[in-house]
Amino acid sequence: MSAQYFAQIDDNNVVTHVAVVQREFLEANPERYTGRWVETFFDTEGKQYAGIGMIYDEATQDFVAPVSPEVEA
Amino acid sequence: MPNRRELGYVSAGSTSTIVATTGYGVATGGTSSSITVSSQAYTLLTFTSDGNLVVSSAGLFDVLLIGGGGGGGHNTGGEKGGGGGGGQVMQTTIYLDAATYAIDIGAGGAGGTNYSGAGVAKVGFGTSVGTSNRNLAVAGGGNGSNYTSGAGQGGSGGGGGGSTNSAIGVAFISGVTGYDGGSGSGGGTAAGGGGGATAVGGNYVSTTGGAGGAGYDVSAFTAGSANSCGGGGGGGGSTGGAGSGGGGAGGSAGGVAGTANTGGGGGGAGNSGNGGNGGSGVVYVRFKV
Repeated sequence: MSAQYFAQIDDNNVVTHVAVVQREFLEANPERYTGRWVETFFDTEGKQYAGIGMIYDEATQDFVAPVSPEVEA
Repeated sequence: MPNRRELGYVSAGSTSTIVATTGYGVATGGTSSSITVSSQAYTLLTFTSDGNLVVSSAGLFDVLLIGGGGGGGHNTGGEKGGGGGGGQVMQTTIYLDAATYAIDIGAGGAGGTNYSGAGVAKVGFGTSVGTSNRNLAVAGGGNGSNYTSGAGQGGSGGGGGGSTNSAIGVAFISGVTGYDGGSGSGGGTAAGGGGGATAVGGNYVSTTGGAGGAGYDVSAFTAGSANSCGGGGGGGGSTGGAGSGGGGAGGSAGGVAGTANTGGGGGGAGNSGNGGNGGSGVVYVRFKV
């Protein structure tokens, strides 16, 4: 069984944690996985793997990094 | 101070004599297999995702934990990203009472995707075995550096980016279960490799990224084929550095992800693209049968 990854997001859709957990185990243990969890994909073309501080976009069902100013190299 | 039972000893009656116990316990959980190490038969439980270790008979257990690998740094305006550090490795023997213990597998840190803030590469998550009176835990690997942020600390440190603004990451306990990352060029040409469980990350060489630091071969524990875990990701460059111990290679473009369930760091990006994600961790538990 290949690993599944789920990101915990807060009320502002900001990622606060990422877990390596099968969906069935996550759903069977709500006391251990509190709050909102959204599946994220580790190495799938066109999908951004979640990291703490990224934002979950419900429209695209993907994770994005907040836009920040470009830095002069 | 731990009591004598925690140390694997029992008292013989009311005297002060201490007798060492050699008894292993019995447990279920994860994926079970039968192995033989040095003519000794064991049951090996492998956890590649969160779960529970259910100890039905108290006793000793050999445990090997590996944290998630750190994410590789991304390219920033031509500056190269450092490789992510490998997850920390711990191998120990512990006495466990009959109970259920939570296993948490550390996810790998995301590779860098943006110039700063939430888009920079992420430190890997820790792996742990929760117990009633103590907690076995290891740290995830440090993230690779980029132009605006230095490499992170972790089980092993992330590699330095190819930028004058990049610092290498250091291991929490250098030289024990994780090592520091390698140095980047400081002039934008190439980045350092992430640190590994058993060696420092390589420094850049000319326009080639440094190799990831070596990992820890778990095959002596699992009786499987050679399987190095907790290695660093390679640094980005015009030629990317090689990954080690499950770590992804650095790229001339994007970095390669670390291998899942090895705790390998993600490779740093070269002339363009994102850093590779770090590989997730793993827990092995075995007991004599």
